[in-house]
Amino acid sequence: MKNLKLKAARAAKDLSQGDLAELCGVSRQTINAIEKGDYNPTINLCVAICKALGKTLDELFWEEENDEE
Amino acid sequence: MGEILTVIVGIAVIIVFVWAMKKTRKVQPHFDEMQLQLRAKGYAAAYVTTLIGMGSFMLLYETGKIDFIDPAVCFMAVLMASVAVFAVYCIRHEAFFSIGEKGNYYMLLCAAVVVLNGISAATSIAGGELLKDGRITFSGGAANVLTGLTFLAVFIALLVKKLGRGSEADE
Repeated sequence: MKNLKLKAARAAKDLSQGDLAELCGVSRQTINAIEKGDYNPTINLCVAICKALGKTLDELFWEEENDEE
Repeated sequence: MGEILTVIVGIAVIIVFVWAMKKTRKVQPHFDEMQLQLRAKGYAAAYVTTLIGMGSFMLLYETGKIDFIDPAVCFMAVLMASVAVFAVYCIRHEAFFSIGEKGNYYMLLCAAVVVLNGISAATSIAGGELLKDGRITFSGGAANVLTGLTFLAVFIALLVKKLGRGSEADE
C-alpha cells in the first residue's frame, strides 16, 4: 500500500527522494519502494525517516482502519 | 604440471588483486536493508541455478549425451551461469552496487575482461586448441569463452540499467 503521508511529508520539506535517502543512509530506490508500498522498512529505518522529516511514527507509518479496507 | 602452475598463479593473482582493491578502498561498501534482502534473493537464485546446472550435467553425462565436452568446462559453465544470475538480478534490482558507488569503473572492467577473453578465445580457437580428440577442452579456449560471456551479460545488464536510469524520474 502506498505511503502518501511519507511522500507528502517529504514534499513539505522540499526534499527529493535522493535527499531523504542520503539523510537516512539508504538508497533512493529504497525510499521510492517505501513510498510506492513495495517495501516495508524496519523500525530502525522508520525512525530514521521520522527524524529526517521531523514527524512521528504515527504520522508517517500508522495505517488507519479505513485505509486497510 | 605447467598448466596447473599457471592456474594456481592465476588464482593467486586474482586473490591478491581483490584483496588489494578492498584494502585501498577509501569507503567500505554499505548496502541498505532493502539491498541486503534483494542480494539474499540473488544468492538464492544463483544457488538454484547451480543446483539445476549440476543436476542437468550429471544426468547428461550419465546418459552419454555430452561426452564431447570436458567435465571442467561443464563445471565452469555452471559456475559462470550462477555468477551471472546473481549479478544480473542484483543489477536489475539496484542491489549490485553499494550506496554511493558508481558503476562506471565496473563497466570498464567488464568490457576489458570481455575483450581480453574474446581475443584469447579467438586465438585458441583459430589455433585449433579448442577441440582435442573431439572434445571441447577447458584450457583450449572454452574457459575464455565462458568468462567472456559471463562478463558480457554483466556488462549488458549494467549498460541497460545505466541507460534506463537516465529516464527514471525522481518523484
